[in-house]
Amino acid sequence: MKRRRLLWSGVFVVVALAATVAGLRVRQNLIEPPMPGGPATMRLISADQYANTMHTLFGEDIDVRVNFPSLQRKQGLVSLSASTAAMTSGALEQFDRGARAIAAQVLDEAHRPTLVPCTPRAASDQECASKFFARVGRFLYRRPLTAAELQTYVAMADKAAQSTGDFYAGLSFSLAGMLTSPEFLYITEIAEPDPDRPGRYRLDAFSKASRLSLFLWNALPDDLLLTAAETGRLHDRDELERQIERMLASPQLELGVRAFFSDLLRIDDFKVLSKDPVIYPAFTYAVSQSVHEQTLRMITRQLLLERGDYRQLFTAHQTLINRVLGPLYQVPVPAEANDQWIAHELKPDESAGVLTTLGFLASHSHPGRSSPTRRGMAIREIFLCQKVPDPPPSVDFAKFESLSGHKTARDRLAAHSVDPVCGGCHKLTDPAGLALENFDGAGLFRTEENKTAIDARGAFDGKAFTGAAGLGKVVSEHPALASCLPTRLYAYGAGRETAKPDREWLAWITRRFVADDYRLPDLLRQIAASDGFYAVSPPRAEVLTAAKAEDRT
Amino acid sequence: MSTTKLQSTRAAWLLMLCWAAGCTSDEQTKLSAAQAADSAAHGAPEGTTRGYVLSSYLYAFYMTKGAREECPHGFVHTNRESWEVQFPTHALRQAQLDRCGSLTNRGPNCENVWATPDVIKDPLPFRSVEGKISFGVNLDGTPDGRATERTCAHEKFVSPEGEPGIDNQYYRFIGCERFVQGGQHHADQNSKVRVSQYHINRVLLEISGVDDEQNDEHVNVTLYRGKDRLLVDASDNAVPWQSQTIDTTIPPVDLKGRITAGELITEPADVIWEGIAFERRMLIRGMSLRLKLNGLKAEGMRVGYVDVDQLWQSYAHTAKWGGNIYGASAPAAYEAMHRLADGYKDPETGACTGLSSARKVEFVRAYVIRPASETHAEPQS
Amino acid sequence: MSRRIDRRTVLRGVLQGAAITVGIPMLECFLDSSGTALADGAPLPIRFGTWFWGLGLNKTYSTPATFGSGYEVVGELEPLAPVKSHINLFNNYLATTDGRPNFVHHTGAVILRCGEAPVDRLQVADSESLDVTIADAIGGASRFQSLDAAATGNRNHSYSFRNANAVNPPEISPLELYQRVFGAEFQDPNSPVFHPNPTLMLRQSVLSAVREDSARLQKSVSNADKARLDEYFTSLRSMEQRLALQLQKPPPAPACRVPKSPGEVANGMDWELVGKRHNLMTDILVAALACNQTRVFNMVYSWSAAETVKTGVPSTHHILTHEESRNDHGYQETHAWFVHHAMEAWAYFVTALASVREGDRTLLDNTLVFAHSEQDTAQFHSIDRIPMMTAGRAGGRIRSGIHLDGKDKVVTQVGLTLLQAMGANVRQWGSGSMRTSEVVSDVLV
Repeated sequence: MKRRRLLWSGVFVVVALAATVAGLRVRQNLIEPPMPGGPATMRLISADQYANTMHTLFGEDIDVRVNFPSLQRKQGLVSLSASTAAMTSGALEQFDRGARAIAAQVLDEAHRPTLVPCTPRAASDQECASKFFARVGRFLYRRPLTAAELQTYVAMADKAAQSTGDFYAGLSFSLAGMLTSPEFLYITEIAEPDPDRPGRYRLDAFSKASRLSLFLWNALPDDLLLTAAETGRLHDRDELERQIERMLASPQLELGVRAFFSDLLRIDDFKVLSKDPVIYPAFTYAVSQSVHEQTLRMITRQLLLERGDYRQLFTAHQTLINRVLGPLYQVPVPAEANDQWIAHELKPDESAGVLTTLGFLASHSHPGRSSPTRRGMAIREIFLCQKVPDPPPSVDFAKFESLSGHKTARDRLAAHSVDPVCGGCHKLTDPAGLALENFDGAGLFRTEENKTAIDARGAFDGKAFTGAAGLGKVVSEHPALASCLPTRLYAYGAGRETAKPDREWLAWITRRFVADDYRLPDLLRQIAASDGFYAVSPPRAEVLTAAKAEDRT
Repeated sequence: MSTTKLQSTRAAWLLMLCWAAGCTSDEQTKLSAAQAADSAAHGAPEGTTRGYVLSSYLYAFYMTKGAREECPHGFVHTNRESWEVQFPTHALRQAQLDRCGSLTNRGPNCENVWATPDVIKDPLPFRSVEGKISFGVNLDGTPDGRATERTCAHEKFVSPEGEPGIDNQYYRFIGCERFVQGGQHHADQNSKVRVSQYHINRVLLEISGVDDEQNDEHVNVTLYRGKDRLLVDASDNAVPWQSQTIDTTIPPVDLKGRITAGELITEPADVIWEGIAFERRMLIRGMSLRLKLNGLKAEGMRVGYVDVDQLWQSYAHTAKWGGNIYGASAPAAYEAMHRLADGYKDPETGACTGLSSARKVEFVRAYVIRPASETHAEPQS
Repeated sequence: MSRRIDRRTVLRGVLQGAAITVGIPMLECFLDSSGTALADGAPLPIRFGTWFWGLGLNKTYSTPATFGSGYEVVGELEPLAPVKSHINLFNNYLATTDGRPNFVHHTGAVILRCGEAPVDRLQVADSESLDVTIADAIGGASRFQSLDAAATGNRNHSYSFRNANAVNPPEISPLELYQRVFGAEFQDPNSPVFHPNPTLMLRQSVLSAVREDSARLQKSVSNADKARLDEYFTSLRSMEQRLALQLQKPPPAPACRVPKSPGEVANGMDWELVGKRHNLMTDILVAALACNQTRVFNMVYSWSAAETVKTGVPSTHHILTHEESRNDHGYQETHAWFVHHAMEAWAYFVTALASVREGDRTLLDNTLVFAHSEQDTAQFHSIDRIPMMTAGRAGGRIRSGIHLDGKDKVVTQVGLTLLQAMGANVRQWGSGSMRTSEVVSDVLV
């Protein structure tokens, strides 16, 4: 009897202990740690966001031609520079020009019946103009226009309408002004005192809506989201989660995910790829315009459509091809049009998922040959969030001058890894890239270079393997892989570079990501529904005083 | 049909049905493999099918520097030159212009000579090719171009490689035209194949039943019209292994052929060839393809007889370019064309209605795709 | 009796006071008798521009044997022979970073443009590029503050900045540049008839209303963002002023000839495509200058890590500078081949400016162009003595045709010289050990 009770007590203790540990673990995963957040951002609208807005508001057939100033890449993302970007008068002039061209289309005879919600009684019709601007302004400024603002734009339109004798011309002038205003071009977040936590600040409802919408859809908030913000309901957790579910279920999610990965993978570089036409005649201009789609579709198919494991992005051996890419893989493409994509099975040992898509391989190469160094560096910087230092400024390249004896890239690079000045960094980059040497500078499979068989042995942080499949597997299992994606996603959504104080929160998000089997939609939900995503540091004293002053007037 | 052929035909039908249903390449690959396995399991392999797309379509004209050999007296007389001889004095010319309005309206009742080229006889002789060398093949089977039951007497050429008995009256007729001699037109020929400036003119080829790539007594060749643009690289060469969809609204053409020492020769048949620009949808009688199969390419010649009436239609368009100063002289050209015709003698009139010809063609390996939705038209008999 | 055609006569009408509506052939009569100023006394405008090429020169191959005037161009500089009397070549001016790292393909350009080495790749200290300084001073009176172009076809290639976050976006398509300058909104300065365009007035009032309406945004943002908004509002005011200018009859532009619209050029970094884009955009820029559409311009032929390619050569120009071995004469041949083509483009640029007559001078005489690279010896990424040139005479304030030996004097002397030549009231320029108050006196009149 006693023994049995002892046994059962023992079992009970073990179970209790296990439950406690598990519970602690769960608690660790469930309870969101504090996140200091950063300042409320003022982001310059991006080219894609601008175009999305015009197309959503005014129709897909609007021709959007605006020259945007170039941004720098910070912490791996170009979109982070939007929060510090400023405008020269040259840049503003481009925005003004583009705005006038768009406004002219919106108010032309073909579009006005659908886009202007009323028929004017005369050239001057402030009531009709008011209806137009109230609707349009709410979307462009991501909040309802104030009475004063509405009056300004209506008055401007009216003045122009009376001067030209044309109601629609009047609207056009004023709309162009709206599109040039900093209220539109800069997506500004406002921090307000948090009523639930006195002394602390939160993003106001419209700022929350903008941040959320840019994050998930790369677009300005739509009507439902704006209404939730207007009524203040967006501050309720339930309502926020409802909106998030709606947005995750929408086809717009794909656009948002594409925008993020386009930035992360530097896909804009794919579109301007040009390869030497003599060395790689198959890599035509048409190909360069298709390769970004191959990579992006592979990503959205794996991560969104199939809700797959992010790690399998590096081990998948199915790719997507269209008519233009078909010849490169020597497979028939039974599609009716060039923009149809079909799945194509690759040989398992010749594939490393996204790492062996044509765009990735070709953009991290030279015009006429491959580059293990660039590919290795890209893998580390893009997918593992590791920074590879710049090459030292005064390297004496004379040591590597005689390249005539080298048949393969491996030979050429061997000299780099031996030299102590060069070896430090090249040991980080080259061994991974060398495993991809079966793919030439255009991304096409080969077994020899300069009539010499390719040796695709590689190594990565202590793990050795051969060939692309081996590399893909090692990258998919790399300890730095899991935390890199959530970190970049948070930075992208919050519009700021991450720093030490963010670590605890980022570690928590990473644990959730892992616990959810590395599924992207769950990660997006996790971030979008967290408190930390909207955390904002208190605004500066002058802003506080000014805000108080305004409240009083 | 042999058992092997029957089973493979069934597999082929399955494959076609699969294409018709829009199978993915995976399923197609499986079916192709199944077909091959099928054939292999039942005796001698039936043969492979290869697809091609037309990538180059040029004149096969032998041309020397300054056209001195082919056209020792110069290019064809222009409409203006003929007019000046027909109306030798200023007064006569002025009178003609006053009455008829244009140099081209040289008929006795001001008939336009392009519209009615047989209304007068031109004073100046037509300049046809006088050289001895031409591309082409011996089409009429005679050594010297003597008249036969079906062909008319004519001079023959020697090929650039020295082979005698070459028939190419099309070259003889058209070889001294300015629009042919000028290099630009040659360049334009291929740009029209690439971009199909005037209409979709994709020509697809399938060679099936190939047992031995070097020598095979019986192969089947099918010509299709395609619907898609040609994919080209930066050097304007067609990209091999591109996928091209068949246009099933145009019936395919089945030809019989054989391969000898790596060269495919199809048996003569009357074929409507897509062509380019103004020489399109031309009836080529007794058309035969002579193509050397070189891995990714199949290059050589298309020979056969160009129909005289169709040729006049296209010639009348093209040769008018350059107006009166550089354009050709219609009555002389019309008369020459009919005189030079050497094939397909009309039993009633005794006049020949076809001109022997050769064209340089090049095909490149491609995937010939059946569209998912459209049904297959019945082949031409 | 031949009648002297002067401006008043033409405007009144030549024949017995009858109004002439036929286009005035021009244009000499709008100049004063010496052809050096406009008839109403206003001086012909002086223009400033920059021209950039990447990867420097093979100095052992391309350094003229003598200093001073009458130098012979050699090596990569040979294409400049027909125009060398217009060109000053500056060698041996030293750039120092004061201990800051040399960010390869970046630091050199920043130093030459604003006199200070950057702290990291994302900042350029608080400085603006000198063309922006000059544009602020002289660019307010023309339709465009400046016109920027990149022959590389890449929008990121611009060395004209107000700060690291405010870079002037370049035009990359000749057709788009043409449409922007000479499209529907172009007002021909020599048109005999001028009607203030009411559209411009409306646009002006719209921008003014936008400015007033959005001013309150300043109160809601942090200090850093306020500074960004300040730049926005400055640019907005500048745009309003420019519109106001366009409402007045523009001064005649004696040399203005509206060019024909260019065709499209294919994408790609092949050296021939780059050259074609460059030359087409040069023609448009030169016409824009002659027609007073702008006073300041920036052209980037290739960026600092030039990715120009040549068919059959597997590596870009940049990679070649690191991998090509030197030939028996001690220089990298293919690298020199690429630079040679860059210098051909530079010669085209200078010739295009020189071919426009303005009175008894040329447009080039009335312009100052600062041409420079980003590196001294590309193979080692060294930036010690980056090659620089000027073209033109800034209306007489600069001498030309001289090969200068900097003798390791600080490189900012050149920038200061240019700023003073353009009339900027600047006594010192550059930071740290590159701060200088000396100019290159051999060149500054």
